[in-house]
Amino acid sequence: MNLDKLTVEAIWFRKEIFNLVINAKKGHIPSCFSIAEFLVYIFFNQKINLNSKNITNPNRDRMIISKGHAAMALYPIFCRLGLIPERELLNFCGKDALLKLYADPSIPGIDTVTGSLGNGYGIAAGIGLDLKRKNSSSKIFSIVGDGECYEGSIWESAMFIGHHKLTNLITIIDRNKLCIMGETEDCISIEPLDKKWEAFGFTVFRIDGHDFSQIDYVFKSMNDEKPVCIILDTIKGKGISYMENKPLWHNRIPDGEFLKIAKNELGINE
Amino acid sequence: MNNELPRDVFIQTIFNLAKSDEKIIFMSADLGAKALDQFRAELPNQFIHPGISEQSMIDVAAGLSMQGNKVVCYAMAPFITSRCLEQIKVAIATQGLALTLVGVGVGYGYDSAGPTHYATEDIAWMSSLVGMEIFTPSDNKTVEMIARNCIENPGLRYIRLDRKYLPSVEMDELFKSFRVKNQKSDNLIFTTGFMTPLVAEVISDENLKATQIDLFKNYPVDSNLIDLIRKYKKVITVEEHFLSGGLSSKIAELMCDNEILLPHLRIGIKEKYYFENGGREYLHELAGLDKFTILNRIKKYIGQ
Repeated sequence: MNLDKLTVEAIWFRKEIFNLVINAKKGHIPSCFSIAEFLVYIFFNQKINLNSKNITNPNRDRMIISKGHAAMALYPIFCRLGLIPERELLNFCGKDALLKLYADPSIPGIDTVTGSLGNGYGIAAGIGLDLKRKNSSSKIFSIVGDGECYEGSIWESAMFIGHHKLTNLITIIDRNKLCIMGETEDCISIEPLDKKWEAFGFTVFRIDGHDFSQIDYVFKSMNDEKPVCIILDTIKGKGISYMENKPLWHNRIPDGEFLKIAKNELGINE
Repeated sequence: MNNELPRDVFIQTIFNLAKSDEKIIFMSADLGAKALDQFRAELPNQFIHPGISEQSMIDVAAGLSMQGNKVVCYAMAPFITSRCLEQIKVAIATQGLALTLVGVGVGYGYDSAGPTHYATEDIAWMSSLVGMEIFTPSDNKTVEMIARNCIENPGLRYIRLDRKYLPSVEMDELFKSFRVKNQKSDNLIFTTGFMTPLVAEVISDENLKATQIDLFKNYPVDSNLIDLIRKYKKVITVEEHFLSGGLSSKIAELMCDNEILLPHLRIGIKEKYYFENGGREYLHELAGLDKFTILNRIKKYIGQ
Protein backbone atom coordinates (compact mmCIF):
# COMPACT_ATOMS: atom_id res chain seq x y z
CA MET A 1 0.00 0.00 0.00
CA ASN A 2 1.31 3.41 -1.00
CA LEU A 3 -0.25 5.71 1.57
CA ASP A 4 0.79 8.93 -0.17
CA LYS A 5 -0.67 7.76 -3.46
CA LEU A 6 -3.98 6.78 -1.87
CA THR A 7 -4.20 10.05 0.00
CA VAL A 8 -3.79 11.90 -3.30
CA GLU A 9 -6.45 9.68 -4.91
CA ALA A 10 -8.91 10.42 -2.10
CA ILE A 11 -8.45 14.15 -2.73
CA TRP A 12 -8.99 13.51 -6.44
CA PHE A 13 -12.14 11.47 -5.71
CA ARG A 14 -13.73 14.17 -3.55
CA LYS A 15 -13.03 16.82 -6.16
CA GLU A 16 -14.57 14.68 -8.88
CA ILE A 17 -17.73 13.96 -6.90
CA PHE A 18 -18.05 17.59 -5.90
CA ASN A 19 -17.69 18.81 -9.49
CA LEU A 20 -20.16 16.19 -10.68
CA VAL A 21 -22.80 17.39 -8.24
CA ILE A 22 -22.17 21.11 -8.62
CA ASN A 23 -22.36 20.78 -12.39
CA ALA A 24 -25.65 18.83 -12.36
CA LYS A 25 -27.07 20.53 -9.26
CA LYS A 26 -28.09 17.05 -8.19
CA GLY A 27 -26.50 14.29 -6.16
CA HIS A 28 -25.45 13.13 -2.72
CA ILE A 29 -22.08 14.54 -1.73
CA PRO A 30 -21.91 13.53 1.98
CA SER A 31 -22.88 9.88 1.35
CA CYS A 32 -20.14 9.56 -1.27
CA PHE A 33 -17.53 11.32 0.87
CA SER A 34 -18.01 8.94 3.80
CA ILE A 35 -16.95 5.96 1.65
CA ALA A 36 -14.19 7.84 -0.22
CA GLU A 37 -11.21 6.17 1.45
CA PHE A 38 -12.68 2.67 1.19
CA LEU A 39 -13.46 3.01 -2.53
CA VAL A 40 -10.09 4.58 -3.27
CA TYR A 41 -8.36 1.80 -1.32
CA ILE A 42 -9.98 -1.10 -3.14
CA PHE A 43 -9.97 0.42 -6.63
CA PHE A 44 -6.54 2.04 -6.60
CA ASN A 45 -4.80 -0.54 -4.45
CA GLN A 46 -5.81 -3.44 -6.68
CA LYS A 47 -8.14 -5.13 -4.23
CA ILE A 48 -10.97 -5.50 -6.73
CA ASN A 49 -10.64 -7.26 -10.04
CA LEU A 50 -12.88 -5.02 -12.12
CA ASN A 51 -11.67 -3.09 -15.14
CA SER A 52 -12.40 -2.34 -18.77
CA LYS A 53 -10.68 -5.55 -19.92
CA ASN A 54 -12.65 -8.00 -17.79
CA ILE A 55 -16.02 -6.24 -17.63
CA THR A 56 -17.78 -8.95 -19.66
CA ASN A 57 -16.03 -11.78 -17.82
CA PRO A 58 -18.48 -13.54 -15.47
CA ASN A 59 -15.61 -14.22 -13.10
CA ARG A 60 -14.70 -10.58 -12.52
CA ASP A 61 -15.33 -8.99 -9.14
CA ARG A 62 -18.39 -6.87 -8.47
CA MET A 63 -19.13 -3.75 -6.47
CA ILE A 64 -22.75 -3.35 -5.45
CA ILE A 65 -23.44 -0.16 -3.54
CA SER A 66 -26.72 -1.10 -1.94
CA LYS A 67 -27.15 2.40 -0.49
CA GLY A 68 -28.09 3.44 -4.00
CA HIS A 69 -27.93 7.19 -3.46
CA ALA A 70 -24.15 6.77 -3.21
CA ALA A 71 -23.73 4.48 -6.23
CA MET A 72 -22.83 7.64 -8.15
CA ALA A 73 -19.54 7.51 -6.23
CA LEU A 74 -18.46 4.89 -8.77
CA TYR A 75 -18.85 7.16 -11.80
CA PRO A 76 -15.52 9.00 -11.64
CA ILE A 77 -13.76 5.79 -10.66
CA PHE A 78 -15.30 3.89 -13.58
CA CYS A 79 -14.14 6.69 -15.88
CA ARG A 80 -10.61 6.27 -14.60
CA LEU A 81 -10.87 2.52 -15.23
CA GLY A 82 -11.98 3.18 -18.79
CA LEU A 83 -15.46 1.72 -18.29
CA ILE A 84 -17.22 5.01 -18.95
CA PRO A 85 -16.17 7.75 -21.39
CA GLU A 86 -14.92 10.85 -19.55
CA ARG A 87 -17.39 13.16 -21.33
CA GLU A 88 -20.29 11.35 -19.64
CA LEU A 89 -19.32 12.92 -16.30
CA LEU A 90 -20.29 16.35 -17.61
CA ASN A 91 -23.67 15.00 -18.65
CA PHE A 92 -24.52 13.49 -15.21
CA CYS A 93 -28.31 13.70 -14.65
CA GLY A 94 -28.79 15.34 -18.04
CA LYS A 95 -31.39 14.46 -20.64
CA ASP A 96 -30.96 10.78 -21.57
CA ALA A 97 -27.58 10.77 -19.81
CA LEU A 98 -25.77 7.50 -19.28
CA LEU A 99 -24.95 8.54 -15.72
CA LYS A 100 -28.15 8.94 -13.78
CA LEU A 101 -28.78 10.16 -10.24
CA TYR A 102 -29.35 6.52 -9.26
CA ALA A 103 -27.23 3.94 -11.03
CA ASP A 104 -28.63 1.12 -13.12
CA PRO A 105 -27.15 -1.71 -15.21
CA SER A 106 -27.18 0.34 -18.42
CA ILE A 107 -23.96 1.82 -16.96
CA PRO A 108 -20.92 -0.40 -17.58
CA GLY A 109 -19.75 -1.85 -14.26
CA ILE A 110 -23.09 -1.41 -12.50
CA ASP A 111 -24.67 -4.80 -11.90
CA THR A 112 -28.07 -3.92 -10.50
CA VAL A 113 -30.65 -1.25 -9.90
CA THR A 114 -30.40 0.09 -6.37
CA GLY A 115 -32.02 3.19 -4.87
CA SER A 116 -34.73 1.39 -2.95
CA LEU A 117 -32.87 0.60 0.26
CA GLY A 118 -32.46 -2.97 1.43
CA ASN A 119 -32.50 -4.67 -1.97
CA GLY A 120 -29.03 -4.40 -3.49
CA TYR A 121 -27.57 -6.41 -0.64
CA GLY A 122 -29.94 -9.36 -1.20
CA ILE A 123 -29.25 -9.25 -4.94
CA ALA A 124 -25.53 -9.38 -4.09
CA ALA A 125 -26.31 -12.48 -2.01
CA GLY A 126 -28.02 -14.14 -4.97
CA ILE A 127 -25.06 -13.42 -7.23
CA GLY A 128 -22.72 -14.61 -4.47
CA LEU A 129 -24.58 -17.89 -4.07
CA ASP A 130 -24.50 -18.51 -7.81
CA LEU A 131 -20.76 -17.81 -8.02
CA LYS A 132 -20.10 -20.07 -5.06
CA ARG A 133 -22.06 -22.87 -6.74
CA LYS A 134 -19.89 -22.38 -9.82
CA ASN A 135 -16.68 -22.41 -7.74
CA SER A 136 -15.82 -19.00 -9.11
CA SER A 137 -13.04 -17.07 -7.41
CA SER A 138 -14.87 -13.83 -8.04
CA LYS A 139 -15.62 -11.56 -5.08
CA ILE A 140 -18.55 -9.23 -4.45
CA PHE A 141 -18.22 -6.11 -2.36
CA SER A 142 -21.52 -4.74 -1.14
CA ILE A 143 -21.68 -1.41 0.65
CA VAL A 144 -24.69 -1.05 2.91
CA GLY A 145 -25.64 2.21 4.61
CA ASP A 146 -26.10 2.28 8.36
CA GLY A 147 -29.51 3.86 7.85
CA GLU A 148 -30.20 1.08 5.36
CA CYS A 149 -29.79 -1.36 8.25
CA TYR A 150 -33.25 -0.26 9.39
CA GLU A 151 -34.66 -2.26 6.48
CA GLY A 152 -35.74 -5.73 7.56
CA SER A 153 -34.65 -7.21 4.26
CA ILE A 154 -31.00 -6.39 5.14
CA TRP A 155 -31.20 -8.73 8.11
CA GLU A 156 -33.11 -11.35 6.14
CA SER A 157 -30.26 -11.32 3.63
CA ALA A 158 -27.60 -11.23 6.37
CA MET A 159 -29.12 -14.39 7.82
CA PHE A 160 -29.03 -15.95 4.35
CA ILE A 161 -25.38 -14.97 3.73
CA GLY A 162 -24.36 -16.19 7.19
CA HIS A 163 -26.16 -19.50 6.77
CA HIS A 164 -24.75 -20.18 3.31
CA LYS A 165 -21.29 -18.97 4.39
CA LEU A 166 -20.96 -16.74 1.35
CA THR A 167 -17.35 -15.81 2.02
CA ASN A 168 -17.07 -14.47 -1.53
CA LEU A 169 -19.33 -11.59 -0.48
CA ILE A 170 -17.72 -8.85 1.60
CA THR A 171 -20.20 -6.70 3.46
CA ILE A 172 -19.23 -3.12 4.15
CA ILE A 173 -21.33 -0.99 6.49
CA ASP A 174 -20.95 2.74 6.10
CA ARG A 175 -21.50 3.74 9.71
CA ASN A 176 -21.74 7.49 9.14
CA LYS A 177 -24.28 7.71 11.94
CA LEU A 178 -26.82 9.82 10.07
CA CYS A 179 -30.07 9.24 8.34
CA ILE A 180 -31.91 12.07 6.61
CA MET A 181 -33.70 13.32 9.71
CA GLY A 182 -30.94 13.06 12.26
CA GLU A 183 -28.63 10.70 14.11
CA THR A 184 -29.57 7.05 14.00
CA GLU A 185 -29.14 6.67 17.74
CA ASP A 186 -31.71 9.43 18.29
CA CYS A 187 -34.17 8.02 15.73
CA ILE A 188 -34.11 4.28 16.42
CA SER A 189 -30.89 2.97 17.85
CA ILE A 190 -29.09 0.47 15.61
CA GLU A 191 -26.10 -0.20 17.86
CA PRO A 192 -24.34 -2.41 18.75
CA LEU A 193 -23.87 -3.03 15.04
CA ASP A 194 -20.73 -5.14 15.45
CA LYS A 195 -22.43 -7.55 17.86
CA LYS A 196 -25.46 -7.79 15.59
CA TRP A 197 -23.41 -8.75 12.54
CA GLU A 198 -21.34 -11.18 14.62
CA ALA A 199 -24.57 -12.80 15.80
CA PHE A 200 -25.60 -13.26 12.17
CA GLY A 201 -22.50 -15.35 11.51
CA PHE A 202 -19.99 -12.79 10.27
CA THR A 203 -16.40 -12.04 11.15
CA VAL A 204 -16.67 -8.37 11.97
CA PHE A 205 -13.98 -5.72 11.68
CA ARG A 206 -14.82 -2.29 13.01
CA ILE A 207 -12.44 0.42 11.92
CA ASP A 208 -12.01 4.10 11.18
CA GLY A 209 -13.29 4.17 7.60
CA HIS A 210 -11.10 7.14 6.72
CA ASP A 211 -7.84 5.51 7.84
CA PHE A 212 -6.09 3.68 4.99
CA SER A 213 -3.81 1.75 7.31
CA GLN A 214 -6.79 0.33 9.22
CA ILE A 215 -8.52 -0.64 5.95
CA ASP A 216 -5.27 -2.24 4.84
CA TYR A 217 -5.04 -4.14 8.12
CA VAL A 218 -8.52 -5.60 7.54
CA PHE A 219 -7.65 -6.80 4.05
CA LYS A 220 -4.51 -8.44 5.40
CA SER A 221 -6.46 -10.12 8.22
CA MET A 222 -9.48 -11.44 6.30
CA ASN A 223 -9.91 -15.17 5.85
CA ASP A 224 -12.52 -17.52 4.45
CA GLU A 225 -13.80 -19.03 7.69
CA LYS A 226 -16.90 -16.89 7.80
CA PRO A 227 -18.35 -14.09 5.68
CA VAL A 228 -16.69 -10.78 6.49
CA CYS A 229 -18.46 -7.61 7.56
CA ILE A 230 -16.38 -4.44 7.70
CA ILE A 231 -18.02 -1.68 9.69
CA LEU A 232 -16.51 1.61 8.62
CA ASP A 233 -16.91 4.28 11.26
CA THR A 234 -17.10 7.30 9.02
CA ILE A 235 -18.06 10.93 8.92
CA LYS A 236 -20.86 11.80 6.56
CA GLY A 237 -19.64 14.66 4.40
CA LYS A 238 -15.99 14.17 5.45
CA GLY A 239 -13.85 16.73 3.67
CA ILE A 240 -16.18 19.72 3.69
CA SER A 241 -16.26 21.14 7.21
CA TYR A 242 -19.81 22.49 7.27
CA MET A 243 -21.22 19.27 5.81
CA GLU A 244 -19.58 16.92 8.26
CA ASN A 245 -22.14 15.22 10.50
CA LYS A 246 -24.91 17.54 9.28
CA PRO A 247 -27.99 15.61 8.09
CA LEU A 248 -29.33 18.69 6.33
CA TRP A 249 -26.69 18.38 3.60
CA HIS A 250 -27.78 14.87 2.55
CA ASN A 251 -28.94 16.09 -0.87
CA ARG A 252 -28.43 19.83 -0.65
CA ILE A 253 -26.32 21.55 -3.27
CA PRO A 254 -23.91 24.21 -1.96
CA ASP A 255 -23.99 27.65 -3.55
CA GLY A 256 -22.75 31.16 -2.76
CA GLU A 257 -20.46 31.29 0.23
CA PHE A 258 -20.88 27.54 0.87
CA LEU A 259 -19.59 26.81 -2.61
CA LYS A 260 -16.51 28.96 -2.07
CA ILE A 261 -15.69 27.37 1.27
CA ALA A 262 -16.09 23.86 -0.12
CA LYS A 263 -13.88 24.56 -3.14
CA ASN A 264 -11.27 26.04 -0.89
CA GLU A 265 -11.32 23.06 1.46
CA LEU A 266 -11.21 20.55 -1.38
CA GLY A 267 -8.47 22.45 -3.18
CA ILE A 268 -10.52 23.18 -6.27
CA ASN A 269 -9.20 26.19 -8.13
CA GLU A 270 -11.68 28.73 -9.47
CA MET B 1 -53.08 -36.76 -11.96
CA ASN B 2 -56.15 -37.99 -10.10
CA ASN B 3 -57.18 -35.56 -7.40
CA GLU B 4 -53.63 -34.31 -7.09
CA LEU B 5 -53.14 -30.88 -5.59
CA PRO B 6 -52.27 -28.22 -8.17
CA ARG B 7 -49.06 -27.43 -6.29
CA ASP B 8 -47.90 -31.04 -6.50
CA VAL B 9 -48.56 -31.11 -10.24
CA PHE B 10 -46.68 -27.84 -10.69
CA ILE B 11 -43.68 -28.89 -8.60
CA GLN B 12 -43.56 -32.38 -10.14
CA THR B 13 -43.38 -30.81 -13.59
CA ILE B 14 -40.56 -28.47 -12.49
CA PHE B 15 -38.80 -31.39 -10.79
CA ASN B 16 -38.86 -33.51 -13.94
CA LEU B 17 -37.28 -30.68 -15.92
CA ALA B 18 -34.81 -29.81 -13.13
CA LYS B 19 -33.32 -33.30 -13.14
CA SER B 20 -31.61 -32.52 -16.42
CA ASP B 21 -31.17 -28.77 -15.96
CA GLU B 22 -29.15 -27.66 -12.97
CA LYS B 23 -29.95 -24.02 -13.71
CA ILE B 24 -33.45 -24.63 -12.37
CA ILE B 25 -33.59 -23.48 -8.75
CA PHE B 26 -36.66 -23.82 -6.53
CA MET B 27 -37.06 -21.50 -3.54
CA SER B 28 -39.79 -21.99 -0.96
CA ALA B 29 -40.46 -19.48 1.80
CA ASP B 30 -41.53 -22.31 4.10
CA LEU B 31 -44.50 -23.64 2.15
CA GLY B 32 -44.36 -27.39 1.68
CA ALA B 33 -45.85 -29.91 -0.74
CA LYS B 34 -45.61 -33.65 -1.19
CA ALA B 35 -43.81 -33.17 -4.51
CA LEU B 36 -41.43 -30.71 -2.88
CA ASP B 37 -40.27 -33.35 -0.40
CA GLN B 38 -39.03 -35.39 -3.33
CA PHE B 39 -37.48 -32.34 -4.99
CA ARG B 40 -35.56 -31.48 -1.81
CA ALA B 41 -34.41 -35.04 -1.28
CA GLU B 42 -33.27 -35.73 -4.83
CA LEU B 43 -32.06 -32.29 -5.92
CA PRO B 44 -30.80 -30.68 -2.71
CA ASN B 45 -28.45 -28.35 -4.58
CA GLN B 46 -31.34 -26.92 -6.57
CA PHE B 47 -33.60 -26.27 -3.60
CA ILE B 48 -33.24 -23.22 -1.36
CA HIS B 49 -35.20 -22.53 1.81
CA PRO B 50 -34.59 -18.82 2.43
CA GLY B 51 -36.51 -18.82 5.71
CA ILE B 52 -39.86 -17.10 6.02
CA SER B 53 -38.20 -14.13 4.35
CA GLU B 54 -40.11 -13.36 1.18
CA GLN B 55 -38.43 -9.99 0.62
CA SER B 56 -34.91 -11.33 0.76
CA MET B 57 -36.00 -14.40 -1.22
CA ILE B 58 -36.98 -12.17 -4.16
CA ASP B 59 -33.75 -10.16 -3.95
CA VAL B 60 -31.66 -13.33 -3.85
CA ALA B 61 -33.74 -14.74 -6.72
CA ALA B 62 -32.94 -11.58 -8.70
CA GLY B 63 -29.22 -12.19 -8.23
CA LEU B 64 -29.61 -15.83 -9.23
CA SER B 65 -31.72 -14.89 -12.25
CA MET B 66 -29.14 -12.30 -13.37
CA GLN B 67 -26.59 -15.09 -13.36
CA GLY B 68 -28.70 -17.08 -15.80
CA ASN B 69 -30.57 -19.41 -13.45
CA LYS B 70 -34.22 -20.33 -13.92
CA VAL B 71 -35.70 -19.53 -10.55
CA VAL B 72 -39.09 -20.48 -9.12
CA CYS B 73 -40.19 -18.72 -5.90
CA TYR B 74 -43.00 -20.38 -4.01
CA ALA B 75 -45.12 -19.33 -1.03
CA MET B 76 -48.72 -18.73 0.02
CA ALA B 77 -50.30 -16.33 -2.43
CA PRO B 78 -50.54 -13.19 -0.25
CA PHE B 79 -46.96 -13.55 0.93
CA ILE B 80 -45.39 -14.02 -2.51
CA THR B 81 -47.22 -10.92 -3.78
CA SER B 82 -48.00 -7.98 -1.52
CA ARG B 83 -45.45 -8.95 1.15
CA CYS B 84 -42.62 -8.52 -1.36
CA LEU B 85 -44.25 -6.34 -4.02
CA GLU B 86 -41.46 -3.76 -3.69
CA GLN B 87 -38.78 -6.39 -4.27
CA ILE B 88 -40.60 -7.85 -7.29
CA LYS B 89 -40.91 -4.38 -8.77
CA VAL B 90 -37.40 -3.09 -8.05
CA ALA B 91 -35.18 -6.15 -8.20
CA ILE B 92 -37.05 -8.09 -10.89
CA ALA B 93 -39.45 -6.03 -13.01
CA THR B 94 -37.38 -2.84 -13.47
CA GLN B 95 -34.45 -4.98 -14.61
CA GLY B 96 -36.48 -7.16 -16.96
CA LEU B 97 -35.40 -10.34 -15.17
CA ALA B 98 -37.05 -13.72 -15.57
CA LEU B 99 -38.68 -15.22 -12.48
CA THR B 100 -41.57 -17.57 -11.81
CA LEU B 101 -43.63 -16.68 -8.76
CA VAL B 102 -46.01 -19.35 -7.54
CA GLY B 103 -48.72 -18.40 -5.07
CA VAL B 104 -50.81 -21.09 -3.41
CA GLY B 105 -54.27 -20.65 -1.94
CA VAL B 106 -55.66 -17.90 -4.14
CA GLY B 107 -59.05 -16.40 -3.41
CA TYR B 108 -60.43 -17.81 -0.17
CA GLY B 109 -58.30 -20.96 -0.49
CA TYR B 110 -57.06 -20.73 3.10
CA ASP B 111 -60.63 -20.48 4.34
CA SER B 112 -60.96 -19.79 8.06
CA ALA B 113 -57.54 -18.12 8.09
CA GLY B 114 -58.93 -14.64 7.49
CA PRO B 115 -57.88 -11.73 5.31
CA THR B 116 -54.17 -12.15 6.10
CA HIS B 117 -54.20 -15.41 4.15
CA TYR B 118 -56.72 -14.62 1.42
CA ALA B 119 -55.52 -13.53 -2.00
CA THR B 120 -58.38 -11.50 -3.41
CA GLU B 121 -56.37 -8.49 -4.59
CA ASP B 122 -53.29 -10.15 -6.04
CA ILE B 123 -54.22 -9.85 -9.74
CA ALA B 124 -54.52 -6.09 -9.24
CA TRP B 125 -51.18 -5.84 -7.48
CA MET B 126 -49.23 -8.04 -9.83
CA SER B 127 -50.70 -6.69 -13.05
CA SER B 128 -49.35 -3.25 -12.15
CA LEU B 129 -45.81 -4.56 -12.61
CA VAL B 130 -44.31 -4.04 -16.05
CA GLY B 131 -43.77 -7.30 -17.93
CA MET B 132 -45.78 -9.48 -15.54
CA GLU B 133 -47.87 -12.33 -16.89
CA ILE B 134 -50.54 -13.77 -14.60
CA PHE B 135 -52.02 -17.25 -14.83
CA THR B 136 -54.80 -18.93 -12.85
CA PRO B 137 -55.20 -22.54 -13.98
CA SER B 138 -58.51 -24.26 -13.28
CA ASP B 139 -57.33 -27.84 -13.67
CA ASN B 140 -54.18 -29.91 -13.37
CA LYS B 141 -53.67 -30.31 -17.10
CA THR B 142 -53.41 -26.55 -17.41
CA VAL B 143 -51.16 -26.40 -14.34
CA GLU B 144 -48.70 -28.75 -16.02
CA MET B 145 -48.79 -26.83 -19.29
CA ILE B 146 -48.11 -23.54 -17.50
CA ALA B 147 -45.30 -25.00 -15.36
CA ARG B 148 -43.56 -26.35 -18.43
CA ASN B 149 -43.88 -22.99 -20.19
CA CYS B 150 -42.30 -21.19 -17.20
CA ILE B 151 -39.10 -23.18 -17.66
CA GLU B 152 -39.06 -23.48 -21.44
CA ASN B 153 -39.79 -19.79 -22.10
CA PRO B 154 -38.31 -17.88 -19.17
CA GLY B 155 -40.14 -14.67 -18.31
CA LEU B 156 -41.71 -12.83 -15.40
CA ARG B 157 -44.79 -14.75 -14.34
CA TYR B 158 -47.12 -15.08 -11.40
CA ILE B 159 -48.93 -18.40 -11.20
CA ARG B 160 -52.01 -18.47 -8.99
CA LEU B 161 -52.69 -21.97 -7.74
CA ASP B 162 -55.74 -23.15 -5.88
CA ARG B 163 -55.08 -24.72 -2.51
CA LYS B 164 -57.35 -27.65 -3.30
CA TYR B 165 -57.75 -30.08 -6.15
CA LEU B 166 -60.09 -28.66 -8.81
CA PRO B 167 -62.21 -31.02 -10.91
CA SER B 168 -61.37 -30.72 -14.58
CA VAL B 169 -64.00 -29.22 -16.86
CA GLU B 170 -64.06 -30.64 -20.37
CA MET B 171 -64.00 -27.84 -22.89
CA ASP B 172 -64.36 -27.75 -26.65
CA GLU B 173 -61.30 -25.81 -27.65
CA LEU B 174 -57.93 -24.99 -26.13
CA PHE B 175 -56.15 -21.79 -27.19
CA LYS B 176 -52.86 -20.36 -25.99
CA SER B 177 -54.33 -18.52 -23.04
CA PHE B 178 -57.93 -19.67 -22.68
CA ARG B 179 -60.34 -22.56 -23.21
CA VAL B 180 -63.83 -22.30 -24.69
CA LYS B 181 -66.94 -24.34 -23.99
CA ASN B 182 -70.10 -24.27 -26.12
CA GLN B 183 -69.45 -21.52 -28.61
CA LYS B 184 -73.00 -21.03 -29.91
CA SER B 185 -74.88 -18.53 -27.73
CA ASP B 186 -75.36 -14.79 -27.26
CA ASN B 187 -73.86 -14.71 -23.80
CA LEU B 188 -70.20 -15.00 -22.95
CA ILE B 189 -69.10 -15.89 -19.43
CA PHE B 190 -65.46 -15.48 -18.39
CA THR B 191 -64.22 -17.48 -15.44
CA THR B 192 -60.86 -18.37 -14.00
CA GLY B 193 -59.47 -20.82 -11.44
CA PHE B 194 -61.89 -22.05 -8.79
CA MET B 195 -64.86 -20.37 -10.48
CA THR B 196 -64.41 -22.34 -13.72
CA PRO B 197 -65.76 -25.72 -12.49
CA LEU B 198 -68.31 -23.98 -10.27
CA VAL B 199 -69.79 -21.90 -13.09
CA ALA B 200 -69.58 -24.84 -15.54
CA GLU B 201 -71.78 -26.77 -13.13
CA VAL B 202 -74.24 -23.90 -12.84
CA ILE B 203 -74.45 -23.62 -16.64
CA SER B 204 -74.98 -27.35 -17.22
CA ASP B 205 -77.35 -27.91 -14.27
CA GLU B 206 -79.64 -25.11 -15.35
CA ASN B 207 -79.03 -25.45 -19.06
CA LEU B 208 -78.09 -21.79 -19.35
CA LYS B 209 -77.66 -20.46 -22.86
CA ALA B 210 -74.10 -19.30 -22.40
CA THR B 211 -70.59 -19.80 -23.70
CA GLN B 212 -67.91 -20.20 -21.06
CA ILE B 213 -64.33 -19.12 -21.40
CA ASP B 214 -61.82 -20.39 -18.87
CA LEU B 215 -59.34 -17.51 -19.04
CA PHE B 216 -56.31 -19.18 -17.47
CA LYS B 217 -54.00 -16.43 -18.64
CA ASN B 218 -55.50 -13.50 -16.78
CA TYR B 219 -53.02 -10.86 -17.84
CA PRO B 220 -52.16 -9.50 -20.33
CA VAL B 221 -55.46 -10.55 -21.85
CA ASP B 222 -55.08 -12.36 -25.18
CA SER B 223 -55.89 -9.98 -28.05
CA ASN B 224 -57.48 -12.90 -29.92
CA LEU B 225 -60.43 -12.41 -27.59
CA ILE B 226 -61.31 -9.10 -29.25
CA ASP B 227 -62.90 -10.68 -32.30
CA LEU B 228 -64.37 -13.47 -30.27
CA ILE B 229 -66.14 -11.13 -27.81
CA ARG B 230 -67.64 -9.16 -30.72
CA LYS B 231 -69.72 -12.23 -31.63
CA TYR B 232 -71.71 -11.98 -28.39
CA LYS B 233 -74.42 -9.70 -27.02
CA LYS B 234 -73.66 -9.83 -23.34
CA VAL B 235 -70.52 -10.39 -21.30
CA ILE B 236 -70.32 -11.77 -17.77
CA THR B 237 -67.25 -12.20 -15.59
CA VAL B 238 -67.16 -14.37 -12.48
CA GLU B 239 -64.12 -14.27 -10.20
CA GLU B 240 -63.05 -14.98 -6.65
CA HIS B 241 -61.21 -11.65 -6.52
CA PHE B 242 -62.05 -8.06 -5.68
CA LEU B 243 -63.96 -6.38 -8.48
CA SER B 244 -61.28 -3.70 -8.69
CA GLY B 245 -58.29 -4.75 -10.73
CA GLY B 246 -59.18 -8.39 -11.28
CA LEU B 247 -60.54 -10.43 -14.16
CA SER B 248 -63.56 -8.18 -14.71
CA SER B 249 -61.34 -5.10 -14.88
CA LYS B 250 -59.07 -6.73 -17.42
CA ILE B 251 -61.99 -7.72 -19.67
CA ALA B 252 -63.59 -4.29 -19.27
CA GLU B 253 -60.31 -2.64 -20.27
CA LEU B 254 -59.99 -4.87 -23.32
CA MET B 255 -63.52 -4.00 -24.43
CA CYS B 256 -63.06 -0.29 -23.71
CA ASP B 257 -59.79 -0.07 -25.62
CA ASN B 258 -61.32 -1.84 -28.61
CA GLU B 259 -64.65 -0.02 -28.65
CA ILE B 260 -66.65 -3.12 -27.84
CA LEU B 261 -69.75 -1.59 -26.32
CA LEU B 262 -71.37 -4.63 -24.74
CA PRO B 263 -73.30 -4.91 -21.48
CA HIS B 264 -70.99 -6.44 -18.86
CA LEU B 265 -72.12 -8.08 -15.61
CA ARG B 266 -69.28 -8.26 -13.09
CA ILE B 267 -69.65 -10.93 -10.44
CA GLY B 268 -66.85 -10.82 -7.90
CA ILE B 269 -66.06 -9.71 -4.39
CA LYS B 270 -67.15 -6.25 -3.40
CA GLU B 271 -64.13 -4.97 -1.50
CA LYS B 272 -64.38 -6.22 2.05
CA TYR B 273 -62.19 -8.11 4.56
CA TYR B 274 -63.94 -11.19 5.91
CA PHE B 275 -62.91 -12.48 9.32
CA GLU B 276 -65.82 -14.91 9.54
CA ASN B 277 -65.14 -18.64 9.81
CA GLY B 278 -67.34 -21.34 8.34
CA GLY B 279 -65.48 -22.48 5.25
CA ARG B 280 -65.02 -21.36 1.65
CA GLU B 281 -68.63 -22.00 0.65
CA TYR B 282 -69.85 -19.86 3.52
CA LEU B 283 -67.43 -17.07 2.56
CA HIS B 284 -68.80 -17.30 -0.96
CA GLU B 285 -72.32 -16.90 0.43
CA LEU B 286 -71.23 -13.82 2.36
CA ALA B 287 -69.51 -12.36 -0.70
CA GLY B 288 -72.29 -13.29 -3.14
CA LEU B 289 -70.20 -15.88 -4.95
CA ASP B 290 -72.20 -18.96 -4.05
CA LYS B 291 -73.79 -21.05 -6.79
CA PHE B 292 -77.32 -19.88 -6.01
CA THR B 293 -76.49 -16.17 -6.18
CA ILE B 294 -74.33 -16.60 -9.28
CA LEU B 295 -77.08 -18.56 -11.03
CA ASN B 296 -79.79 -16.03 -10.22
CA ARG B 297 -77.71 -13.06 -11.27
CA ILE B 298 -76.76 -14.67 -14.59
CA LYS B 299 -80.31 -15.86 -15.29
CA LYS B 300 -81.74 -12.42 -14.67
CA TYR B 301 -79.04 -10.78 -16.76
CA ILE B 302 -79.46 -12.97 -19.81
CA GLY B 303 -83.23 -13.08 -19.42
CA GLN B 304 -83.55 -16.80 -19.07
